[in-house]
Amino acid sequence: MVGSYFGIWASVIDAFSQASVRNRVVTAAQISEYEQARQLVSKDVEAGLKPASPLDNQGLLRAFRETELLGIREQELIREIMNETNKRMVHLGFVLIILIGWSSIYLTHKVAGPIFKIKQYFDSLRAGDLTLRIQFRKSDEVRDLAPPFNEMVSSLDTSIGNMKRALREAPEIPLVQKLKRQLEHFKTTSDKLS
Amino acid sequence: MTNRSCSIVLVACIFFVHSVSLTPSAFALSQRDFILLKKIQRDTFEYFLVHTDPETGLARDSSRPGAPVSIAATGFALASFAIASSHGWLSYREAYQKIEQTFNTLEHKTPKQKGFFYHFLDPKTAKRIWGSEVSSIDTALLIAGALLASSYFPGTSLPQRAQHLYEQTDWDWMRNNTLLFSHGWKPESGFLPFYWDMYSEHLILQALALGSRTHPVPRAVWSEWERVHDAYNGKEIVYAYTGSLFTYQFSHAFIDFRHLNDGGINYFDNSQKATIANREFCAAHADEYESYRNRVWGLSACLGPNGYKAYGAKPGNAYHDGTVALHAAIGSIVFTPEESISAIRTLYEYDGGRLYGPLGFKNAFNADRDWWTDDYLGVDQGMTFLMLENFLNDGAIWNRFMNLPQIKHWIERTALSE
Repeated sequence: MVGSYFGIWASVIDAFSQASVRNRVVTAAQISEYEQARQLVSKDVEAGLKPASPLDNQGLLRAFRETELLGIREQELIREIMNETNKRMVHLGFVLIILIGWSSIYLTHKVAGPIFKIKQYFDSLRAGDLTLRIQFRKSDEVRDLAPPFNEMVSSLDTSIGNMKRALREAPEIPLVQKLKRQLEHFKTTSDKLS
Repeated sequence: MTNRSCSIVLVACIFFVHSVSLTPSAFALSQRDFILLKKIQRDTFEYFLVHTDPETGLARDSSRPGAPVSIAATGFALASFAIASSHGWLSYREAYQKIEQTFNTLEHKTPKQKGFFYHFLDPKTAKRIWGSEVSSIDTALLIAGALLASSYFPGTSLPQRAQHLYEQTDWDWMRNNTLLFSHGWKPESGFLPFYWDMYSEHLILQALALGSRTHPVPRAVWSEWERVHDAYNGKEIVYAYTGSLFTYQFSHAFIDFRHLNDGGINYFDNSQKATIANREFCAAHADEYESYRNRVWGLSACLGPNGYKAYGAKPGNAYHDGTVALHAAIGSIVFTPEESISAIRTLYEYDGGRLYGPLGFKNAFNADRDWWTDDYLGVDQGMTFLMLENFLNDGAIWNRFMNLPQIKHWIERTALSE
């Protein structure tokens, strides 16, 4: 992007540098002189339709033609620069679209993906599943969240597992039965093992 | 025999062959002149090596910085690459690649109108610049160069590609419903209001157009332009309005007019007389202009103290101010070998050799105005190179060009053959 910016400015500066402008002024004069020389190669000159001598065409008319030629060339140069700029913009646009597409995919994979995973995990927790452990890829942006979170869930899993085991061994009084029903909602690692 | 002896014998043989070979006017060259002319031809060729764009293969109009490409100069460049390969100045492969590169650009990059090319192009992009016109004469010179160059590479794709460039040119369209060819056409304003209506360099345009089978023009086109006569020092000449020598030379670089008769006019003889008239005109004004002293002559379109002008001699407009075109005498070498070589020698040594540079003779000078240029013009370099080739190699270009079917067809249609 920066390269293109400077590239465009470099072509503008080059096209309108003192040396380039001087060369164009000389070329305009020369092309005008070519035209005059060629127009003399015709019998129309004898009929008085054209100047009889190259000198007759000097002065105002010649200056006008040279200015006109210079104007044409300046327009061509500006058109060239604009076309070149447009081309660069189109190329840059393509690069930008590719960049945006790529970064969208990146963000989806590295940020939105883990967030979706966390949401799914919370849903499972709400459903009482304490056996799940969250796992992220090495390149995931939120991967540092996993260890403390898993630690907390693991601690809950152990505590509730222990409570369930203790209640299984306790006498079947109404309070115990009520607690057992409450804890049945939770699925722990020790449930799987037993 | 030692290597040295071998070399001496070889040089002697070459010299002998060139001394006795029939140059166009059967003029016997001295060894010294032969070496000088060969050097000028080699140095002149260098222009096309230096000033042809390496990417597009298009030749610049002049050596001046910022000069655009001229398609006529490109035609001369194509011819010069082919000829250079025949002399060993370029290898066959190098020349082929350079010509092929130019053909690629002409076929795919340059804008065209009815097969005609724009006069001036950007050297890098090959696009039209300076609002230039689609030019009839410059296209003709380009196509003549392409046809000539491709004839040096038989059995390759080049002849077919050159033929395609030729066949796609709609010569008939350039008449603008008249019997004369327009100078050109612009997309913004249509046909230019100038026509090739008198004798001038347009004979090459006539030849190619009348020889076309894909876009034929009426036979009457050949007789429509005026053959205006006038005399100078007792020489009756069909003249170009400006009296510039290049008008008597450009078509002759390709076409051998020696044996062509146009209702009693032989254009080779005509150019010969025009050259002598040009020389005599300069001599007649030697008291007025210092430039014309010491038998220096050559009034033709060239750069000058007041810019590019169509300098010329009688008969014609004869505008002159002491500016001598350095290519003028060389361009007439096939018509007036003795006079041209004498002028070339003088100009080569003029003022300590200041008129000669690394690319051959510079464009012009004017001693009266103390005006000297270091610039070279592509078309003048091309004409110098081709005319020297015809002169030094027994009409080598003429022999090839006159054998082209389109040229034979032109001669047949116009009944020019003796």
